[in-house]
Amino acid sequence: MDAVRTGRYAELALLAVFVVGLLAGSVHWTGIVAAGVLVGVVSSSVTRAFVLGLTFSFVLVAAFAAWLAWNGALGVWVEAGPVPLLTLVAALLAPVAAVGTRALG
Amino acid sequence: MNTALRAVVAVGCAAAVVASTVLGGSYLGLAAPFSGDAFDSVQQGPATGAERVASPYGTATVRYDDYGVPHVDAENEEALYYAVGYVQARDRLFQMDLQRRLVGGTLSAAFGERAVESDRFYRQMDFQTAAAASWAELRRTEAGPHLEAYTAGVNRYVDAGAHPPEFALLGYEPTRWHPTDTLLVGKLISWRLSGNFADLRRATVRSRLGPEATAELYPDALAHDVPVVRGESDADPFDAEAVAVNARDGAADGDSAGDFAALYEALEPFETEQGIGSNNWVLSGAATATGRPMLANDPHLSLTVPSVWYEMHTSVGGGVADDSTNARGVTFPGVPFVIIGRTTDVAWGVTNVGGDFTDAYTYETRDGQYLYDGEYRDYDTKTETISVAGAPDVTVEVRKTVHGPVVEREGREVAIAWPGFSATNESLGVYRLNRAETMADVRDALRIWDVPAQNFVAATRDGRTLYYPAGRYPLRVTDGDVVRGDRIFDGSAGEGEWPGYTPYGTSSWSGFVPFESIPHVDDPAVLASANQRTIDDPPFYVGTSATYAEPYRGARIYDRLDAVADAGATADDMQTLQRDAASRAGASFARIARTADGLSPEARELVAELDRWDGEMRADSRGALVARLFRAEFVNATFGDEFGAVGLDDSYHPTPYVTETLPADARWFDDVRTAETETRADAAATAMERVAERIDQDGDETYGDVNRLDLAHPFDRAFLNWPERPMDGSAYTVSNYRAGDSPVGSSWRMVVAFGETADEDVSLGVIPGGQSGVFWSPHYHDQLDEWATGAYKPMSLDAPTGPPDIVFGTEEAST
Repeated sequence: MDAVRTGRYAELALLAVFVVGLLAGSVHWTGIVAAGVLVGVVSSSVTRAFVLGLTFSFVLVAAFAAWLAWNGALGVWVEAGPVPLLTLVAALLAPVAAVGTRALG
Repeated sequence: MNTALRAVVAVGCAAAVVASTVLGGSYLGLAAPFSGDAFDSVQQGPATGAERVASPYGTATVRYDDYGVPHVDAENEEALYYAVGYVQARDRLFQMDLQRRLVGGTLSAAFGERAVESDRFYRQMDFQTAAAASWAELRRTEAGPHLEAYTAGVNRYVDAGAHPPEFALLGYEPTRWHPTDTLLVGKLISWRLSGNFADLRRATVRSRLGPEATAELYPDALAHDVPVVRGESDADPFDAEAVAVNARDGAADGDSAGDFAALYEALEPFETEQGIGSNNWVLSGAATATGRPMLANDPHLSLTVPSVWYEMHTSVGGGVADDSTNARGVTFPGVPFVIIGRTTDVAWGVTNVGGDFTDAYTYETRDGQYLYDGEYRDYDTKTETISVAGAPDVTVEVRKTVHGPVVEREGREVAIAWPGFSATNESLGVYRLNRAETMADVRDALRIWDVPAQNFVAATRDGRTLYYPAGRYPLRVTDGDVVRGDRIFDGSAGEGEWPGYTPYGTSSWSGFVPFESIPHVDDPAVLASANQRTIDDPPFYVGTSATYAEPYRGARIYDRLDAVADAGATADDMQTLQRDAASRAGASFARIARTADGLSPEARELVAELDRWDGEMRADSRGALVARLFRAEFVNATFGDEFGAVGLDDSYHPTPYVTETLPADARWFDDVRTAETETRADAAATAMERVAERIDQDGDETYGDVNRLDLAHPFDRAFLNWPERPMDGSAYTVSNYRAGDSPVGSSWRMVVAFGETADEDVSLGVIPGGQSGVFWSPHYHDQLDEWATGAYKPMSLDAPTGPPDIVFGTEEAST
């Protein structure tokens, strides 16, 4: 695993994980968990897994907000009561899964 | 990190993920970024290019304009209505589902126990069977295949399209549409416009206050001289004997059958809302500056989120060929045809005929049977189960007699007769209007119109105008005599029979008023309807003051139209009149308020406010606030004592018009709870003091503080509701809006002024809200400001240019 965690392909692996994770997360919310697991797998430490998982969440939410804005729905989402909060909670599954996976070794 | 700590962290994280899945899986499924069900309808079409939809009927295109109005053009009518079904579902699927659930009595399955009473009522009335009867008739007509194509289009979207977020929030999926669902929506609208229990209400008042009081407070006709038809009608002479064997003119008011307070109060939420009404008018070229007809219409309905109406433009082959469809206007979501609108050369609008189209029957009963025609009969009975979300199922017994469905509360029961329980043809009538090219086409469409009876006004480019209150007017026959319908009939004694009427089946309508005998006017120069009395001294019983609207709006409209017609009316005049907020009711009650004496300084100041008031119900007016509050308090001060003493609440109080036209020395102004004898001036003083107290208590400054636009989504969540704002208008002004638990107002404003060619037409419309029921959409309420301020948008028959938003094609050509 060191090759994808710290080797020359580490950044490429991380990029691939982010792309795959975004695709999986856009299909079903369990895809966010899967993305977190993959982030954990390619992370060099638990701390880095947390940071990268959180980064993935941010990228996911940013992409989602951009998609809403493109469709003229961002303002409605922001004001939609508990919905945006639930969206953020769902996105935070990624760092949780990443940390848990990396902690296993 | 040591191994033990790693294990703890790993287990903790795994536990957190599992807990989220178990406890919050449904919420995550709802709101997760991108994939959450709530976001299914954020992006309704592809990011680029047209949405392509397979159609088994042929090609069609949809171009949405800047307001989200679909312009649907197709190669044939089936392809057209398939596409219409698809776009209506795309924009309003949740609303369509909600309506069919409401009238079909299946709301509880989605909304739980709070909807059980509604479901019980609608199940007992069995609108479902009535809709099935209508479909059995309609499917054999030229409109049948089009409704089937429309249904297929709806189902195409139900099966493959993105569902509105409301379904995910409620946790169910929409079922497929059926043609009877469209007819159910029609039955719902018809019932809301013509189904009432005024006879139960009147009978209750009669039993508690006596026949004299009832005749005085619920008169046959209100004292005014502005019926819809101000002169002679062009109807054929009416011969009751030719319709009902041995019939003669109506008998005197008979004795009603007792106290129905408990029954009425249980049913009252489901009847036509009192005071609900609409405006329309038509001017011939003789009354307009252009020399060509003009027409305006604004139906007043309970305002909802999303909007009651859905606007669309439907055409075949661009609408340029002879005998092809080219219609634009509004319809109810779930109905494929334009209900109010125009074609290339014809425009039409409707208001409700405030007639009496509902009768109630009592019976002698024994051992679960009812007496009719000399023998005890079994009720036609079935037991239905109402599914209730989050609670046990509820069963309801649906019973019917020969007259119609039975409703029962607290030991009293009546059967209800209403033309809409029969198979009815209004869908075919609307379809024919959508193809109308001449006034003869309009008459053909109205000839078969069943329910609800509507005051149609129509105009054609070539200069014809028409007023026709089309519909089925029942004649009530007792012992061979035609009698009035404003009473409870003894069904066992054969009273009040409707010859030719078959509930839940096919009626011959043989005992109903013939179409040609309905009072109407051919080619009127100026004609307006606002739900007031159709005509003075009609040749048959139509309704009473309890069913017709008061004359406030009708009189104001005629005043203004007569004034502008002399100089030649313009399209601007039509718009100005639709925005008119002058209140005759307010002015009348202000005059009464000025008779009050012995007032406190605060109340005196409010009377002075009325002196300064211009009579306009404007949101920023303090005088309008005082007038509005005084009207309600004066009616209460006048009748609250007598009615309260016999257990009747303010829902039984007479109308404001009856109250303001009582003689100044009428006994009703005396407060029976005091030793003194009060006068109208005393009642006015009492009312004005109450107004002063209320204003002091509530802190209201202007009329807009109480007359607020506050329209809530069925879920009543802030992010789903529309923006609030103060509003002009009242229930009694032409510009119509009244706040309340169920706000009512102009649900569509339309003006059509024909020019010599279509390019010279002025054609305008606006709805309160927006085209889309999907709250992500920019068209969720983008017309609300324009509507509230009395502005309009174009209602052109020209489709937007540019590439289509949706393309329908054959199975092979499309995905």
